[in-house]
Amino acid sequence: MSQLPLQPANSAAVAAGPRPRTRSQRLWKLMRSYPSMFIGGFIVLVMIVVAVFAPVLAPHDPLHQFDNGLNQMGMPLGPSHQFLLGTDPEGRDVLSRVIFGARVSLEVGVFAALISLVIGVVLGVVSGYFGGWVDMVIMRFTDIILAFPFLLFVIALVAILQPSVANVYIAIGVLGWAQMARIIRGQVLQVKEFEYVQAARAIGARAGFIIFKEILPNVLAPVIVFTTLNVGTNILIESSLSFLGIGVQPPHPSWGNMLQEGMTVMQLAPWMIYVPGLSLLLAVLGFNLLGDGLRDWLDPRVGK
Amino acid sequence: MLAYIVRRLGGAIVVLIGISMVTFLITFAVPGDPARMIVGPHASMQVVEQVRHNLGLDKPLYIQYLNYMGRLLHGNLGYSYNDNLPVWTLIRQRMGNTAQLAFGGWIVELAIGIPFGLISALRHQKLSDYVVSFLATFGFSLPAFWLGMELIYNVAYKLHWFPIGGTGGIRHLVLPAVTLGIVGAAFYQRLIKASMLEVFDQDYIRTARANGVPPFRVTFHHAFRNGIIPAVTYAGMDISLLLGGVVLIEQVFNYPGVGELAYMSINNLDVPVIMATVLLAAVFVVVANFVVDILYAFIDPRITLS
Repeated sequence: MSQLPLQPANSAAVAAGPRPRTRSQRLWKLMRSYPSMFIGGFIVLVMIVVAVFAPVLAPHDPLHQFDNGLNQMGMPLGPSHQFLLGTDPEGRDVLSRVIFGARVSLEVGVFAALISLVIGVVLGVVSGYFGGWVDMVIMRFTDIILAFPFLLFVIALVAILQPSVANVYIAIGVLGWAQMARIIRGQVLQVKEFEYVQAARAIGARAGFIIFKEILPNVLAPVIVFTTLNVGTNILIESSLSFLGIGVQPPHPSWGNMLQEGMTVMQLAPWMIYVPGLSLLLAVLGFNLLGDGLRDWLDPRVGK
Repeated sequence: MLAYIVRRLGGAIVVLIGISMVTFLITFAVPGDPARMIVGPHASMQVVEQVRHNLGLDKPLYIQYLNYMGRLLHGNLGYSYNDNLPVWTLIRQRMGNTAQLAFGGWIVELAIGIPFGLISALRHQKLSDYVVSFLATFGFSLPAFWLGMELIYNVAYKLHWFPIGGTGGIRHLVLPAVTLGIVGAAFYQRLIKASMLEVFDQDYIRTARANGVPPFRVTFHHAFRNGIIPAVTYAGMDISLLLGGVVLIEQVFNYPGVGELAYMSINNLDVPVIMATVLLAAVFVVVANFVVDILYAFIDPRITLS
């Protein structure tokens, strides 16, 4: 009882009044204002946990073909106690394969987005900052890349380079920077005219200093937003490539090649298309919601 | 206006040349020797050399490129490694089917995208806007090929409403077109919403409203006509989306179009066919963008001034 006076006497009034809010109240307000950011963030977080801890979370080895994984007719089994989401035509556990599939999706999605990020930001900043013929050459090159239907272009490049996980994210990353470069260029053109950048130039600051210290921090918001959205798109493209047989190669699981395997038996084993398909939808939706929410929060003007 | 058209045409030609260079250079990334691919693994070195010489593969890179350009300008896209038929013949046989599918997909895009965009703009920041906008994000996230499979399983296989795949009339086209159009519908919802919101904010709309013009008339007579124009300029991007989608969707629905041809040539590493489909798709996008730019300038002459 003697400790009671240490507590604020009017704690109820503090919470109700216009005084500075606590951290959790601020967080609550942010969650209510930008629900999609938090829903998307939660989905993405779950996906990351699943991908990182796949060996712990998966009930079985995703490559192991169980002797009791097929019925007498040689067809996959439906959901059961041993195989929670059923088995595939090779007698493998679908749940374990979906869990490991999250790894490949995340790996390709993130690495490809990072490659696009680096190329897009470098070209966008150089183009916007230096202008003139440099700008013209880079922007024409961007126009050329954007003229190719993205999915078709990636498919062609991976097919020609030989299918492998690394080639998939290299192809997606190397072809996917153009939109980013355009956006960054536009931002740099605006920021370049701000007084503090003009002032830095006037006192003779070097281009490198101005770009890294004055311009890059100011174009960070669209970079974060577009990279997040790109991860979702890249996951979709990876699965499309694996579905067409030029992405992740069997027996290694990817949501795309699981769907391809499922397509042939979907009349008898519909879980084979529901499980990887819904996982894929949820993952892409997570990144899209997170990206849209981040855009509304960080910079409402961009991309609307 | 003429100066504007000339400037745009110049830009389009530069991009077209760039596209031809990119597709030309990518074929050099192919591991293995194209001459060897044509004659097969058992041919002698002498035969391979002969084929290489006949194809001009022993010439310097820029000469090869100029030859390639010359052939392209004569409408020669090369010959399939697989069956030695002209690539153009293979593509032409299937082009009609793909055009039908893409057109169907486009109709679906507009039929869903425009009303949803209008709802979002009219009920901005109300419940129906939130629901429709969430549906659009959902549509963006849908893996089209998976949606196609689900439609085949649930609507065609279980309910027997539509055929499972193949061609043969409108009924065969419905499911693939819906699958193809969903992503684009989400895209148009956002475009129409943004551009309608912008139009609603302008003085002439406020004036019309203040003068007591009924809301329905304001929306459709005054606002919609201007709100739809910016959406038209995205036709190039839309075509790009549709042409990328057909590769997957034709595969899922067993639909004999150019996308299926591309898929088959990917599996055979039939490089001339792969690159010809990519090249044609890109050229198509550039031409569409050019036409739209010119039309847009006619509709809204202010464009030519910028």
